[in-house]
Amino acid sequence: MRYSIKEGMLSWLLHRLTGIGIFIFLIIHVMGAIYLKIGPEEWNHHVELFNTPFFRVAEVGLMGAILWHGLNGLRIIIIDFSGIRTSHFAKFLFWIIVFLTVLLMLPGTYILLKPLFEGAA
Amino acid sequence: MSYKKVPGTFAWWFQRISGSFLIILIFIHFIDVHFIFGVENLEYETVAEKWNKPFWRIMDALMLILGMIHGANGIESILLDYKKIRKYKTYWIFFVRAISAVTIIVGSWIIITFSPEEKSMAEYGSPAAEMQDEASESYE
Repeated sequence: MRYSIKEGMLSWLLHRLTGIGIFIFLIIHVMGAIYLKIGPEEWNHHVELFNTPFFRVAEVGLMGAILWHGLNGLRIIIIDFSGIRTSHFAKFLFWIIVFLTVLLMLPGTYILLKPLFEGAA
Repeated sequence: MSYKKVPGTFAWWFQRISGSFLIILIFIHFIDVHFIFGVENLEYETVAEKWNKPFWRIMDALMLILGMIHGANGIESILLDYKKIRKYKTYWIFFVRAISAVTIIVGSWIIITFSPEEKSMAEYGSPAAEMQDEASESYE
């Protein structure tokens, strides 16, 4: 049985977009870690980059992408293994993870962006 | 939302099992790096201290390997949805897996060989620079 196109399509699309984004981030992240092998000064210079307003905001985006992808993945697992294939259940879980993502993003964003407003970054 | 189970049963199971592990691993990693330390406190010494414990090296290596295979699997399933890509699917899949493999190898190499006591690559200097130093010394 198929569930609602609207929520289903949106979660499907977001799952792919966040997945591609995280994959590309992970490659860059690992390649950046090569600075650890080049030297302490080079590494310290490399991580200074993350303490800039642009990367602080990007960090919030990364957190959101990871949260959505992880929670939606959990939703897929629950749908697959519960055997409950009703559109009502899938929609219910969709709104639960929307709620959880927003709930976790609020304190997370506050902590990550706080230094920006204190003038530390 | 479930992917076709018939042609890629192993990939189907792998995505769900590795995904479950990655949720736990990345949750810990993100809280540790971004909330407990914060991006302003990631100096070389911090990494050295963390990787002093084999536990964290194993956690990071596990995250790297599971993450890159999970990612490659996911990208492949996206690519195979496109007719034009399916035509040359062998090359595309090879390309994605090669990127994934290189990242795993580079990352593992860093995790395994990182040792703060060891002289860093930059400190060695290039042989040409050393020769020049010697030459200028003898000239003096």
